[in-house]
Amino acid sequence: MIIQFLKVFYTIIFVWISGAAAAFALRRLLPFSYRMFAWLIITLSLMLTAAYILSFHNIANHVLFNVFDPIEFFVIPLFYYYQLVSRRLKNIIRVYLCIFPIFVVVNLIWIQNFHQLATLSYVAGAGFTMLLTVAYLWQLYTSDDTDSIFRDPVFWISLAYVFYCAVSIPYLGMLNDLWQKHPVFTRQYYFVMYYGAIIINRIFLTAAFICMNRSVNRS
Amino acid sequence: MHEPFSEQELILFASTAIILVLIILVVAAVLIQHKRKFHHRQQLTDIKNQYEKTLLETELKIQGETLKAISRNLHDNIGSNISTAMLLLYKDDHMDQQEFEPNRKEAISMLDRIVDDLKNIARSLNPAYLTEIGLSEAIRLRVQQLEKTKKYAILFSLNEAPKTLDTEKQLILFYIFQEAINNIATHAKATSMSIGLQYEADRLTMQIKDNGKGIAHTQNKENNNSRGSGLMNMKRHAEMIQGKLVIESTDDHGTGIMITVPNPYRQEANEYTDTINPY
Repeated sequence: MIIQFLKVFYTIIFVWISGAAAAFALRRLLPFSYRMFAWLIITLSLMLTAAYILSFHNIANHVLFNVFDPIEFFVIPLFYYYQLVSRRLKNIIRVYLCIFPIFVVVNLIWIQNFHQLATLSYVAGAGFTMLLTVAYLWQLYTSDDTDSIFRDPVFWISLAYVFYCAVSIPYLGMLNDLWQKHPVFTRQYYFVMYYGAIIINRIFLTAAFICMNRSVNRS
Repeated sequence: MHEPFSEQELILFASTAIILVLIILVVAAVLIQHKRKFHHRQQLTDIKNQYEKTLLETELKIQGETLKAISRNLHDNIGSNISTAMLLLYKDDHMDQQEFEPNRKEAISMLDRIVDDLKNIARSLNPAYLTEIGLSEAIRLRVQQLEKTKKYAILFSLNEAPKTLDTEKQLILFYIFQEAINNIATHAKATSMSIGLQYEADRLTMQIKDNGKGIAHTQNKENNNSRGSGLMNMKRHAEMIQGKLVIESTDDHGTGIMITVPNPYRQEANEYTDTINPY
């Protein structure tokens, strides 16, 4: 049964690897924002495992995503709050962190309900996260710092989320509708495109945690 | 007719593709910019390393030349002065005290000069002596040594430096001065020379002229390029400190070397890489 499960949900291996890398990074003395991010990835790894197991047994798992996606897209902007230097962006993140939880609650209670995947919250959170990752890449572009960006954990985290969000926002944004009208296509797209996005996301996140370890070793 | 994709599916593909392309462009721009910055940093490091290497070589050359000068000084001046002083102090049996007194006074003044020379030698053996005494004083001491050889009539002129000179520029200028003096001693067969140091608010001009054979004449006769490579070295060193080196030479009418260095004075920290143009 486990083999069957891994055949269908093989991306979970990448999720576990990134979770293990996060746990490994936590052994070191990391800055608060890095520790917070590592704990998020460990939590999401456990959540995804649970979600895949539910899906494997044909049990609806959207409730898990409705709860954990908002947490993910609350913690990641908070993480970028510590990484971005622009005061204006920091203020925008502050406003987002105040508005987003309210929007999530409003969406879950009055707009989309618990019975379906909260795609609006996802699109809002992931869209904002993608903007922050692009802002960080722009910060690297304009920076005078000549240190290698490949040793910067936040660069890898930004790459991880910029690609993941680029693929997942259109797909998850339309998922409820697509699932009703084109279930075969939706399933195929999920196994090709979304799986690809998850794999890339988790590989880059693993690279980020390796960089965190190395930067701590060097210091 | 059956359509391969519905409108929704096409929207999904198109929006994903557009976002992905934009993201790839952003990431590519960041990576290209990073590569440029990395390359630039590499270039700066290479330039700095090359500059420091040349500076070290210059320092070693100056030390070598100083040791040579000391050796000559010990042999030609101090050695012969000590011998003369010993002769003067030798008192013959039939020489009375009154006759001996002028010899004794002369010997004492000679020994005073020897002590001064030895002090100068001791100072010049200190590796940091150029920095300690400054360019003007180092050149003045070298001129004094040259005068003692009695081979040249030397006209030396300088005005006071308004500020402290930059250490590295000072080192390079002293190297050029020494190289020019060596060229005169080795090739020019000159009998007189004039050395001038002119400090201005934003520049320093150093001029060394001789009345020797001139560069072209020397090179034709000696059939070698040693003086040419020496001049090239001087030019290269002058460029390192953004200096302009002009050489004027006519057959049998001597050679004149003039170097002008802009902003030769000590500057604020971290301006180093911007003001140095090694090659």
